[in-house]
Amino acid sequence: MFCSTIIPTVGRPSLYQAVASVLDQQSSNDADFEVIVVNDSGKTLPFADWQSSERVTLVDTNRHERSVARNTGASIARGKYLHFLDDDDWMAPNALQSFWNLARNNDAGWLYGTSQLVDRQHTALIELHHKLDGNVFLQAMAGEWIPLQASLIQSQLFFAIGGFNPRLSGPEDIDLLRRAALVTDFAKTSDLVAFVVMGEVGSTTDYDSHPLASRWAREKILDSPHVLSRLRQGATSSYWHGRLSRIYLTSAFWNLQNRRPSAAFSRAFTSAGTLFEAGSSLLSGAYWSALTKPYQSETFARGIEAAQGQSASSVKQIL
Amino acid sequence: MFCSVIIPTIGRQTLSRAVQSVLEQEFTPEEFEVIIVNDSGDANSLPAWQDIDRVRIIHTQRRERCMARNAGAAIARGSYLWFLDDDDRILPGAINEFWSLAADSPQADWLYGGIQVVDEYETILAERNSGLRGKSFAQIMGGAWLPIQSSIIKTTAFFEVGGFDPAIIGTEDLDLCRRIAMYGEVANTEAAVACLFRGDLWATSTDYVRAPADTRRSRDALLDEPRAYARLHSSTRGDYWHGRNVRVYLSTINWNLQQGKYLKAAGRALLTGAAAVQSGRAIFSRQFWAGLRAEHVPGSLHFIMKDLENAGRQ
Repeated sequence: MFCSTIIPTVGRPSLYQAVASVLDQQSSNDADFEVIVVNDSGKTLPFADWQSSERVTLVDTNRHERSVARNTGASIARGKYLHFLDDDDWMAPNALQSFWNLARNNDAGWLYGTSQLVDRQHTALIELHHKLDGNVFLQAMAGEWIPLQASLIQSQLFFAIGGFNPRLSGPEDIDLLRRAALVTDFAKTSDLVAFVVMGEVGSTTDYDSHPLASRWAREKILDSPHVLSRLRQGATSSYWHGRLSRIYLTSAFWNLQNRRPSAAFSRAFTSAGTLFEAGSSLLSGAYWSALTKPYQSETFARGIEAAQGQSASSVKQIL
Repeated sequence: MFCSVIIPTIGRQTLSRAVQSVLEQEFTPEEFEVIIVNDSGDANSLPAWQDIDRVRIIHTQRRERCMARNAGAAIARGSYLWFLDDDDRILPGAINEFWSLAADSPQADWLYGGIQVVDEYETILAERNSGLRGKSFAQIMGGAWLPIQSSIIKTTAFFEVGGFDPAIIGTEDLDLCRRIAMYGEVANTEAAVACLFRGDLWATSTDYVRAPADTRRSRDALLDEPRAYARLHSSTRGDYWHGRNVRVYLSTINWNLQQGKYLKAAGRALLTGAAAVQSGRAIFSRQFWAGLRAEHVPGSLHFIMKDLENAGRQ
């Protein structure tokens, strides 16, 4: 089977559209797919016609947040690729075909396409045209974000890196992206593949639940083998040299604050090493602005610029 | 619901014995359930179960034990989780025993009783119960063993620590126990609650080649967690375990050196010194040095294996 779409839900009515957007996928070839709805509401879902579809599997988990619900869905999935959709988002009509074409001549572990962010009323806000390709680890560690809704992840890779971290709720998608980027390359299609609803109202994301766990997850990644060499491959400009130094510098501070002196020293040491390696980049303003300023996604900036006017101001409000 | 018994299986024949041992428990039927995680990848490999209301089956796609158990835990409705393997069995009265223990120790996250190892004629070859109670992080990091097959774990605690870590394949149960003991307490009943069968099929799904390395990696990762040292120290009771703490840090120096993490090894060396200093007068006691030197602590799996060897010789 080509792809399993996993939709965790707390029973919001928008689920119908999410499931239908997958079941309606037109596929001219044998790109077989299935939908796994993980009902984490703790209650029985009201009956809907999609539940009788042969392509749908329904599993009931018992109020464990998204990471656990998604991991459970992934465990029963049969597809070569996993696609994680939320119950208020939906797929673009030809998304599956686009991914199929992309996967045919690409063995990257993470495939993604263009996504459109919309507000609660489904008014288009901005489109995200990422330029990330190949080794995107440095960008991911710096703070770049690709919506899961617009991504296909090889099942084998997903389990090799241990799936979603259940201790994270909110930043678990960024954490997965980073752990994947450490070991696999990314490939993109410029086709529009997913619509993602932005805005906090009714969202199940709890951004403040585990600030320690979230920072800790990042530290664990920096502790993994081969991190530095993979990061260095991404440092292709003065700006990215600066980002690389910043990653280790901020980590050194965090470790110092959390009384892990030997880790703090090791990070400061590495940070100094990256500074040394940046060489002539040290003379450029780009290096220093990257080193001193928090990350701003260029993709978002481009999206906002392209949208202009009304939707641009509302997206700025939401972000 | 009080308890969900989760049994991952790849379709071995012993499964029905495991399931029956749960269904035959004399306990309020609405208060416990069985979840079979069929990880064989073949949805048709299991017989339809008679008592379908209390037995739920979920089909995972060959994800190994950790992911299979985590998936089972996610659909479980019980306040406590009991992870059984498909070749083990729980003993009559076990759920009742845990019910009283949970009522007596509502604060405990990990409840356990004795474990038996029996042969195919049901002769008891070995029985163990390490008897640990309360905060036990130092003891568990030091090598004490609370067998997962004879334990129930509070569901909330299980998910707070993130469930089984799929990166630890050989000794994922020990790793889970350490992570839960780091923040929570354990409670113990003297009764034997589960038994393992020692036969040709015994524990074939455990990767013994990876186990020692995974055990060390898991221990090292835990010592990295913020405030690990303080937790270790606050749960230390008695001179023996002071010695054991020093050994825990000593052994991670070696491990980190082997991994080429020299700075971290140096950090651990500092903490080894700190642990020794904080032991205070204990270092003049015989017990301290016994704890520091012992290869295995009393009650650990090692001694069960020894018992089995002896039983085999007789």
